Amino acid sequence: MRWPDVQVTYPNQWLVIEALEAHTEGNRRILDHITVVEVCPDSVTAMQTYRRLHQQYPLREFYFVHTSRAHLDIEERRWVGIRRSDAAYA
Amino acid sequence: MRLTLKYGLPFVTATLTYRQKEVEVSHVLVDTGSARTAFAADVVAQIGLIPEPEDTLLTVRGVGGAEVVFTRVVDRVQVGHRIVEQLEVEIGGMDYGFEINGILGMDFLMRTGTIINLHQLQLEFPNAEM
Repeated sequence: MRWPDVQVTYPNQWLVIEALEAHTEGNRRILDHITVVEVCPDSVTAMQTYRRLHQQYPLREFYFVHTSRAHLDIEERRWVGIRRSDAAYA
Repeated sequence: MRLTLKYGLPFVTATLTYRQKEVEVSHVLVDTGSARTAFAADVVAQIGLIPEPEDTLLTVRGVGGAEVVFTRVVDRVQVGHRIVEQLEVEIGGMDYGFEINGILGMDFLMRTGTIINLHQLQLEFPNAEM
């Protein structure tokens, strides 16, 4: 599905969606093919569900969104991340 | 403001205020490799900062994959005696497998002209506004 189809099928809902196909244009992430993974009662549940799925399947692309937003408008930012030493204390 | 070394990395404690409610955030990483300041969703939820339908969504992409976060302008972020008001921060799960509740990024550090003194393991804040 594309985003407008998702909005029509699940009006005014918090969802966890998965991008089966996506690409980056400049600093925008464009989702070309979306599936709905879960319908959630509120935003906290949606984000928690997203976090659980993301940890379980780190290579898959999930998002937590509300279907009232006109456009997904997902911005992409790069970050090298945290490189720490294994010892709990330096 | 004292820096604590953990996992070989520098951490401080910060105070976050949102809609007049305040929360102390421990284990905040001082990170000149982050353009933006970020906080853990579980911590900010304690003061009512939760995702809203129209929030700006970001996918933060890097080594090890990507993480979806949302942004919010908070009333203030305070470290030691230094305060930055109306800072747009990122809120994410921060599920990195170790204790981290926030990242103090270059947005805060540059606005305050923070001096990162690793010789004495402390952050220093000059009085002049940058």
